[in-house]
Amino acid sequence: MSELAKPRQFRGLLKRTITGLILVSVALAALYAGKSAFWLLASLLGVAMMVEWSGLLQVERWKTLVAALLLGGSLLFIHPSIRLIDGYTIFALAGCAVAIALIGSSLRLGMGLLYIGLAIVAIVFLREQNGIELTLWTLAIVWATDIGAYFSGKAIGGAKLAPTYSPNKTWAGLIGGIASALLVSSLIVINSLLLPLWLIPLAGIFAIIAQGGDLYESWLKRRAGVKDSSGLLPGHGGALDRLDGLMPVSICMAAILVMGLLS
Amino acid sequence: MSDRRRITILGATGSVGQSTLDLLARNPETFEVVALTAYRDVAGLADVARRIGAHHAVIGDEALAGDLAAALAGSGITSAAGAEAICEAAAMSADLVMAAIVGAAGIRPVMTAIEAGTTIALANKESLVSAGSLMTEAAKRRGVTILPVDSEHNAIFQCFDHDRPEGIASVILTASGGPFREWDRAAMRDVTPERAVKHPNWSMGAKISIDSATMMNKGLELIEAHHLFNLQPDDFRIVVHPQSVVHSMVEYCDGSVIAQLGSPDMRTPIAYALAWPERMKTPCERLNLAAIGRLDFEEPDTERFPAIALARAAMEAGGARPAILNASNEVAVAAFLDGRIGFLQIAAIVADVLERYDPSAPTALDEVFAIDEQARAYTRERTEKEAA
Repeated sequence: MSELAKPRQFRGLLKRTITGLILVSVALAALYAGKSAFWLLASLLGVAMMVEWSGLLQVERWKTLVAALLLGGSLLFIHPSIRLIDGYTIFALAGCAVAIALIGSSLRLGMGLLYIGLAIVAIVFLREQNGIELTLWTLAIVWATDIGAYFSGKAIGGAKLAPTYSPNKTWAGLIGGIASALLVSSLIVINSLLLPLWLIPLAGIFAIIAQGGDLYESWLKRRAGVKDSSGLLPGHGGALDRLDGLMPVSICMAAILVMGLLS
Repeated sequence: MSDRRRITILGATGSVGQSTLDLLARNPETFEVVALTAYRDVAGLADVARRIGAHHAVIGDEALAGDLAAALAGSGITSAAGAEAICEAAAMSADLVMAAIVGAAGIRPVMTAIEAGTTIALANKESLVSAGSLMTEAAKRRGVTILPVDSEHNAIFQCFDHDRPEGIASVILTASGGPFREWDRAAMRDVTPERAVKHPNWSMGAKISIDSATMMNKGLELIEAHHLFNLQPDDFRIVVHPQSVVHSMVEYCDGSVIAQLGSPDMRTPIAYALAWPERMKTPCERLNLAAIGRLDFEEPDTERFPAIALARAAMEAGGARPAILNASNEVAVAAFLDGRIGFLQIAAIVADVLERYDPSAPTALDEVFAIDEQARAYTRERTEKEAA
């Protein structure tokens, strides 16, 4: 049933906006500082997401603890002054993922560690290897997708995107997210002296990937029968809720860069 | 066992490689050639390998493996091909490796030779500019001496009291000032590539001639000097000396200044490195100071030549900055030579890239290469946006 926007539908929007602004400020400050600050924020969020992931899988506490320790331990080694982001880092993460999958006898727990670990490695790699502008572009695309999808979904509504996985996502939201990502991408790339023009259309693909990440996490939550992955961020749920789109996008961006496609 | 000095030359067909071979050929009883490498010049490589009696020859381009083997057939000289084979040649037992490969391709072979514990005669500037900290740390760990071949750094090396560096007050690099030493910026704005490549004292390739004209060359040398000679950044100075007779100087705390002078012939610093710690004769023209008559010196003008200030800032900040400076400058110079940007835009574009691209300090050579690549990609974008 599609309805025009009513105040009720934007309930919690104020809280959500205020928390959102604070989160964005913290992220931007860490992004600007780079090095230890950015690594620390990314790693802490990674560990928080690991805990939330374990929660969604409803595994025992000790398994959660082991998974968080394995991920946190791996992320210590990508500190910018030690940084060995290369094939070995990926192998180490894969090793930890296999270990926790076996110890916890849960394939999904192992996959979660690998997925979250790769995402954190990717975003730190982007920041420390490719610099602030490209990382800012990546973050901005995901944020633009989220915001565009949220408002166009609420305002337009219409046909559901994937009711089996997530009851609230609409086609209008997906298209609004893509449009918003393309717009923000154009603004950033045109005003940047360094970013290449082909990033503009890439934002459209990344918007779809971001929404795919969002959808996947919604499905995990639905299976677990919860609305939010945790209450870590007031109005936004948990770290997973907020970073579900960024994770696959940063992995894709880092993969594109590693394959040398930017040069 | 022969008691001749065993030499390997990386980049044997380039200008420094050729000068080195010229000196070796004049002293066959003193030197023995272990290995020679080149990137693509199979005929040139095979020819010098046969004439000098090298044991091993390597071509960088793997597709040319067969050509090299054919060209060396019957000579008894073993051959190999590929980047990995060049590193293997660098690691072969030798008394001295002459590192004369131009560009970033020379970095890994130099590191391999350092790890093998061989004394290095260094003519590859990227090794120190882009990967300076990694190189000097490895050299220190392996107890390897790096003998600079570049005329300025070789001069400093000769004047520098390596056993008592605490008595040294400063290192003074001399700069010719390039073809635009006396020009104002308004005149420099409209300089053509043809005009800029004409250097008053040395005949050089287009890239290095432009670096000399922007004085980026001196800036990069400043960074190299900082890695080679362990003093504070402030202790490195540049003085413009149009005649290029004084190659550089070291100032001591008592007010003494020791300078090295010579004619502009690369074979003098190369011979110094080949014979070190002894000396060898060269056919170089002797310096005739009376005929030269006068030597002039002046302060460099960082307003007119901002590349010097950019390089000094990169040297002071360290980390990835020098690698970005070098990579970005190469792309900007190429764009100027192609007529896509103006002369003054070279330094302006490099400054923009340095300001906006801020990766962490590289902790391994792979990261140096990744930063170098990324800086080039960003500079190409910046150049296109400038030209558009």
